Amino acid sequence: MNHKHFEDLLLSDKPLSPDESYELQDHLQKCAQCRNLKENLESVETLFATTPELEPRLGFSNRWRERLAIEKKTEEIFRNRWQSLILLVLIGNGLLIALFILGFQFSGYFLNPSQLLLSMIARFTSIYTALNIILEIILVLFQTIPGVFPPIFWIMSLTLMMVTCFLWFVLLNRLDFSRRKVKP
Amino acid sequence: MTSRESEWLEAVKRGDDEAFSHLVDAYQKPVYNLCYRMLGNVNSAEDAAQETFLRAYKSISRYDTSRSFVTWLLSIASHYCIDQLRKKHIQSFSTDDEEYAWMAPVDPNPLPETVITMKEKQAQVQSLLSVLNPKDRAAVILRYWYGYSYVEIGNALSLTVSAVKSRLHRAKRELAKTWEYQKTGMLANGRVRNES
Ligand SMILES: [Zn+2]
Repeated sequence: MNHKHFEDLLLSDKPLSPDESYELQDHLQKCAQCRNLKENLESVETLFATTPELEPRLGFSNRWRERLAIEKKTEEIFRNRWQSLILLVLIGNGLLIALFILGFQFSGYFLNPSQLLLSMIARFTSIYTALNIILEIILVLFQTIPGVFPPIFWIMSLTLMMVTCFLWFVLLNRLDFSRRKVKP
Repeated sequence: MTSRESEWLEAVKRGDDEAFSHLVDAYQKPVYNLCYRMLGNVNSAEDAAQETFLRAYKSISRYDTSRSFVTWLLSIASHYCIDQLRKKHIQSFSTDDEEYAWMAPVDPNPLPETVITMKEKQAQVQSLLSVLNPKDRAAVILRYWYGYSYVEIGNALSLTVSAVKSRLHRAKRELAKTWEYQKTGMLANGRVRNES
């Protein structure tokens, strides 16, 4: 007997055609196996249909609000931690790169400390010598220049400088005054 | 979708958490029941339902308003419960012969309906569902308790209509077989008790 076809009809959800329905009824009368399947299926479906829905424990949405608040706080902590971590990594990387460049530049000296000491002494000596030469030049100029020009030249130069300064000061004042007047 | 529901959804999308609480109030029961049927115990069901709402809240921007909101929620809940069952292997019900016997649905001396407590009935349902694999279980639940069509089940569980059909077919056969098994187990148990 071909049970498979009738089992499929029993297990299918789609409504049966009159022919299929007649065929199935006929088979069920003769076949205990398919009759049993039909009864079992009906029992299961009845049980499902008559089992009431459950109610969640009181205060479900309050518990949900609390859970959301905790979730938001956790996310914030997590985000802050990430930001701190990224900042630390960036600083660390920057330091490493700086150290690498410095190390590369001074690698020769690091390998030979006495060479570093010698080069520093040489640099100080050269700066000291340069300063001494500049001081010498200024002293020589102060000693020679007054003798080259007659005293009348110095008096005239000084007077000219004072007059220029005065004119400059007056002009500046006037300009400033006129600008203030224009302003509303 | 009701106008109030769409108002709440609009408010949620603007960042109003209180509006989402209204949605939680409105849909806690269907979501909780699906989780309970899937996982078979109240604590796991509560946890899964809470997680469902949290996931929905986080991905609300991805919710397509042309779809039913409750279907979207049930889809999230189904996927979450299926994952939980696969990951943790939650044993909602023991498949032990002896444990089956006490909750067997058919008694040789039928008890009146009132004697079978609601708790026992729930346990019967869960013992039947527990024999199904997670996805088949979800399909059966959406079909019997939520009256979903094959297309709706397919959308909720990311399955094709033909896949839904074959899963339901297989699940029903398995449920009928388990019912038969429980019935014979009960009869055998009764016989042992009578003989001793
Ligand atoms: Zn047959």
